[in-house]
Amino acid sequence: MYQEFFSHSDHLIWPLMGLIIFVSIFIGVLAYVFLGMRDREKIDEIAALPLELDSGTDLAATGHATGGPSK
Amino acid sequence: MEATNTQMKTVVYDDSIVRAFSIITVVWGIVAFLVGVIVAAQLSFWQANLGLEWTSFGRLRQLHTNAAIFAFVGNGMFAGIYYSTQRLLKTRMANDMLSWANFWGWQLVIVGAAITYPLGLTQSKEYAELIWPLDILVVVVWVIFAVNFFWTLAKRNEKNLYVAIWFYISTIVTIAVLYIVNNLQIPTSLTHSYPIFGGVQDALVQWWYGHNAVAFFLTTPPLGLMYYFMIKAANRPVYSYRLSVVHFWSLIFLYIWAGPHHLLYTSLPDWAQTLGMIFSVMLWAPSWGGMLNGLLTLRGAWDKLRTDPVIKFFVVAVTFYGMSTFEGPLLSIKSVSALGHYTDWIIGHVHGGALGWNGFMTFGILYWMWPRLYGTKLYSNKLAETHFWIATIGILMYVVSMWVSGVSQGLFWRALDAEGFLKYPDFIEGLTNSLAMYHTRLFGGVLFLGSAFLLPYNMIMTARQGAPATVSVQVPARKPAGDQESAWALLTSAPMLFIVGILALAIWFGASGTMLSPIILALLIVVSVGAIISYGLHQKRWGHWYGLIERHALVFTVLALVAILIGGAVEIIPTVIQSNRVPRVITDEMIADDPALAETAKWMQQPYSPLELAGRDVYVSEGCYVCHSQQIRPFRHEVLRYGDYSRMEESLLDHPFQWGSKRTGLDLARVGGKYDNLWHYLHLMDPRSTSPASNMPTYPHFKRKTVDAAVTRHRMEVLRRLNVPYTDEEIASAEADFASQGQLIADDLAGKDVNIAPDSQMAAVIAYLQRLGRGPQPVSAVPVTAGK
Repeated sequence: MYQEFFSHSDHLIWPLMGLIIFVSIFIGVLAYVFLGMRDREKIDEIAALPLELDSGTDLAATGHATGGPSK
Repeated sequence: MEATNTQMKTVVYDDSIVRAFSIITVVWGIVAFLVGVIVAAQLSFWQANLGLEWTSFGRLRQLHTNAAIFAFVGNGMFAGIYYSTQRLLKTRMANDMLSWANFWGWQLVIVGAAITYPLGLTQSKEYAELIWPLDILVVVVWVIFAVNFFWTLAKRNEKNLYVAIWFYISTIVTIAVLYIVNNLQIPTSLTHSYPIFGGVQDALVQWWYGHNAVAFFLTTPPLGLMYYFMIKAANRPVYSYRLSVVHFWSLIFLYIWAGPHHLLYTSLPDWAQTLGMIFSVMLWAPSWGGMLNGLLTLRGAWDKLRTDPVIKFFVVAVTFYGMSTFEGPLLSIKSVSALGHYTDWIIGHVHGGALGWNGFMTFGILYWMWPRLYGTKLYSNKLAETHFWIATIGILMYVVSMWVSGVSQGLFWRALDAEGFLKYPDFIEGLTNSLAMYHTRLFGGVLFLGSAFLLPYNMIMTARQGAPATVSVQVPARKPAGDQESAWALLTSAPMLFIVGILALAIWFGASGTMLSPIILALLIVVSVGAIISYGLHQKRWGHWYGLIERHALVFTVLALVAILIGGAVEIIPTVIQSNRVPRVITDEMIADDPALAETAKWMQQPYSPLELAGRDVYVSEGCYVCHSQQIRPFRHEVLRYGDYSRMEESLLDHPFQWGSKRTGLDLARVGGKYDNLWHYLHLMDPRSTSPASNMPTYPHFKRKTVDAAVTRHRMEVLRRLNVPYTDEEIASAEADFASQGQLIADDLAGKDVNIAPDSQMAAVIAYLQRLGRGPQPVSAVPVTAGK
């Protein structure tokens, strides 16, 4: 149905395609992330990856991890 | 390197490479800031150009931007990536030799840039000025870095790829794509080349690259580093891991589209401009999502802001990121761009990002990382605090002065009187009004530079009180399970198939006619409902799907690559196809067949004469584009000041394009014929002689140095391969035309008591400037024939 609107160019349909792709993916990602990813334990584990201590220098300079879980 | 026992093995990190990158970051940082102060001084006081060709603003400005981006931020990025990647993947970098090849190769590129730019060896494409041999070196070094990085991913001892790693992956693949496409060129000599794209194509490709160099060199790496180092400094997990998933994918998908906002109201096709604007505005959301994710990570730890200089640097860095990513979309709105483009506002915006976001992020990382690399504490928190406060004041002075100057310039240029004519026709008056702000900017830059010296002092003293640390961790001797799922299985899993199916149907729906579209819409709904049912039946598997993806480096990399390719392809391919359809030569017969071509023919650019081409090459090598645009926007005030607005056809043969992005001086698109040869001679020898209060450098070397007709002839042959329609006759007579046109200009000046050589750079540049905005000019005393 958009063909009439874009009848003056062979190429102007491309941006519309891009927009459709983005909106579809964005809604999909949002839905997936906030509805599909429900394993809180796993999420917290990954979110805390940087806080795993190195031996030696890191131990000396780092305090206790007291932050709450990742949202 | 890795000693194994029955259950655990010890991994020793390679931090010597991190120390090397950290040290060189500071060295190049100070060089970048110093050159920045010098070019700022040149804009305040023209005498700071020193009257030397090697130190003129046009040449040093390229050195400054490249030093800041690739030398300072680039080396800081490598330091942070090498440090965090090893720790996040619980393994040493795959190959120490590759790490060091990355280090020395990158420094070689920077030294090459530092030598070639002052010599005037440049492509004159912003942030891609390096000549082709150095471009090849960049690609080689980047491939070395990529191989080392992905090899490390393959041998990792941590199954999950943390969010920081995602940003590093997107950086590596995207920079490779951007750099190669934007630097497609045909060499004419060891130090010179012409880009394969010309005019509007070159403009779009360049700003697709230019904007995404900001995105994928100055934004995604620091974001990845933020997700590691800020978490470490705050000792808190990231505020929202889920938000980081949305942040990452939407950011990399959207950023790639935004390049055309650098070309608003130019002769780029309107649809591409609008697309760039819309995606730039949308970009605000993921950017602020990332900023908030960073800042909210500090929840419960804000007290550290009072005592910890590292947290101070990080908080201000992320705040500047938020400010810049608000200002960027704002400036991308066409009506705001109409005011801000070509002005100092853009310079303020860029420096808010570069000094505030990138600079402070790098400083924060170095202050946090350096003591750990030497197994000690920072020598002086007070010095770090002092650095922070002086640099913050410096940035604010810089940015605010450029905002004031930029908005004033925009308003000054567009002001019309009651009769609808320019209220301020004298351009130089606007420059004079900006001088106070230029001085303020200079002072702010000096503060930033001065404060930066505190960093190496603190680092040296810290290193002296410690010793290079060897850091190791115990990891399970066996590789963790979790990577068993093959790439093919992941790519053909139900969620992926539903995504591809829905996308395909959505695209088909958009492209279909009125009869077919309801059927496709119905199919789309059916498949979407199918996806929901599938999710309901296999919730657990769907829920783990992304977890599997982010454990599979290859699949993750492929998906990131697809995400960034879509935007570039959608914008560049149609523009290239459309502008390629414009015939380079239009005959009367063609117009008889298609009368619409008459308008195209009216504006169609004709190839430059040999001397004009030589002059253009000199113009390009001097970096004149950094102050003079060649693109008149379709506004009354611009048309009144510069002449009719620019058409796409007028610069199709320009390799590279010279539209510019800043007007410290006037637009030159139609300067040809406005002044006589003597005016140009005097202006180039001493700009103050014709334009009192100008801050332009002098170019006395134009009179001394010569251009080579044989070289120009060869360059014409190369350009012909790029579809510039030079005829056999024009190439055959190139040397004769070159000499005769030079003689015409020399004779004209000799009649006014000025002597120059016909083959001087002066004659060539004057020939080029006199050609701008006009058709072919006489190349000999004999009147030019029609069609020549």
